[in-house]
Amino acid sequence: MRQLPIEPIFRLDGITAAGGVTDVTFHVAEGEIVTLLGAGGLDVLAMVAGLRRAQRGTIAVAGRILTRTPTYRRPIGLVRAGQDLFPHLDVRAHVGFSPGVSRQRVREVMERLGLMSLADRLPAALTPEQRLRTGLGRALAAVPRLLLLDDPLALLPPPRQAAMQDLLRRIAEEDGLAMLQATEEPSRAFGLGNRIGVVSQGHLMQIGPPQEVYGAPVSLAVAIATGPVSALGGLLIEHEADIGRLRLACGATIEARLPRRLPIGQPCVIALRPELIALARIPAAEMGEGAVPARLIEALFCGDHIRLRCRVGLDDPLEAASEVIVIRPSGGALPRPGEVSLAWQASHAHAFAVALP
Amino acid sequence: MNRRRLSAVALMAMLLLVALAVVQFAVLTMPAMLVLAARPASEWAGLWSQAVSATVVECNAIAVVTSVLLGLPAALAAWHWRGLWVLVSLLVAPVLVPVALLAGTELSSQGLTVLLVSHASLGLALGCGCALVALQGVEPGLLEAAACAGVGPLAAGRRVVLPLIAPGILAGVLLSGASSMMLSLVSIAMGPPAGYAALSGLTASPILAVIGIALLLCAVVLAAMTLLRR
Repeated sequence: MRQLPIEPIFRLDGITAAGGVTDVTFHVAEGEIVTLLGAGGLDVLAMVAGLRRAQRGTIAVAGRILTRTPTYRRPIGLVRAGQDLFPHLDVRAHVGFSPGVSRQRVREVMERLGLMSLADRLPAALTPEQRLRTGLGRALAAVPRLLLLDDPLALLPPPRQAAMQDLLRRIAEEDGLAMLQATEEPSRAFGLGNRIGVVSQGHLMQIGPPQEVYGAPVSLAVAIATGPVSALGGLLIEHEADIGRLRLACGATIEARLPRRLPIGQPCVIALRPELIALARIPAAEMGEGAVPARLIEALFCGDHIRLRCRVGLDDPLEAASEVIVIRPSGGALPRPGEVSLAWQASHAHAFAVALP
Repeated sequence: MNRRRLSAVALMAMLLLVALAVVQFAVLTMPAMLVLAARPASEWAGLWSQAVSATVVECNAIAVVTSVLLGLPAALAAWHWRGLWVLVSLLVAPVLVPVALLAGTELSSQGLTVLLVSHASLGLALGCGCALVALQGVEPGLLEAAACAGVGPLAAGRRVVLPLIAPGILAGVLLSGASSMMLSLVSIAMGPPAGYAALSGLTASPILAVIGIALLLCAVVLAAMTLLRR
């Protein structure tokens, strides 16, 4: 991947809006694509576009403070999933909609996005992808410094989403265009963003490279927002550096990463990624340290993967068992229900404090 | 007041309005039609020549021009600033005034100014109402898209909103012209010698009171609806 410049083209500093986001700060560099994952991302996008007023903080694009600048004077473009096309204008008129866009520029953009054969069509005669390309053409023709993507791939089937993500990445790299996407769907976030920011309950909880945000979430909310999670309840019994030792409700002891320092005795939720849990049909003692006994309850074929529903803790008279989902690549016969053992690396399990009722 | 109670108030007001519409038809429209039906056939030939007189054409023109020049801006203002809905509801209210009553007012006054004002108010109401209905079909997201494409509010109105509501504007123009013509024809047909005396009776105070209550209720209903929209 191209080395990104350090100097950001877009900077958001302490942005706050009533009933929306609180104290959100981050930046986007030239050619970088940042995705905000979570419901609050759309609020941030609306404030950057000037469609919603920020109560506090500053929004700067290319060194200009734009917090009080009207939308139409901001050097931004907005792309939605294609529902905001003008019903009475054809594709060519859309691409040339912005003031000062020359015919030459319209032609260049249309050729680049494969819209030449659709030039005279009205939005009603376009497919969702063609509508998206038209909206993208309208935004790009005006040469924005920052492109805002309001979950533009939401209406496309997964294979076409990948193709459009490739196109957007290529545009960002070739033009050095900064992009800010907002979505609530992890697959669309990870498929496009150079960095992912998770917005939960109005706060930017974590922002960083996709692997970091997915693999080392700082809170349970981030873990849940970024992908499937299997959660187990446990009590912290000891810790060393950022690795804690926890006793599960079924009595087994496991190790997990502690994103924050927690006191001994702290009740925790241990979040596990289903695809990072190993499952074997051997006793836990033979599987190694940290393995826990479990019972495979159900195996479900889901096309590209198999979903295994397990219950941790065998013959627990208090029914203090917890359910864990394990995901494996599909292929071969479905495993039959029965006793199994589960194990995972300590760095793949994340323990978060929970408040006592 | 909570939304459920507001809905109940609005529903009751609407039911009362329907009941009053039935009453006004019985005591005003129906007698007016009887007055017209009672005119001898020999008088009708003269009525047609009056219908194309300069005054009638002037009234028509003023209704049409008002529907566009005042009705459309009023509708746009009400669409943009939701707080103006109540005011605009009052502007639209003349649509509900029975034509026979307007015709009676024209006959009673006999003045050109009153004549033009009554036609202008009708044009304003119809132009504003039609434009408002058309504006309900315009997605606010389109204006946001225009603004994000660097187009200012006035240019967005001209390039996005006006083309989309053009059928509504045209409908307002046609309705204003047609209603103005109908108003003129009714006032001419009810005029002296046969109809005037009867019409004077129709526009007497009890009927005006009924129509006044109907208009008041109309305003209440529209105001309630405005609150419910929030």
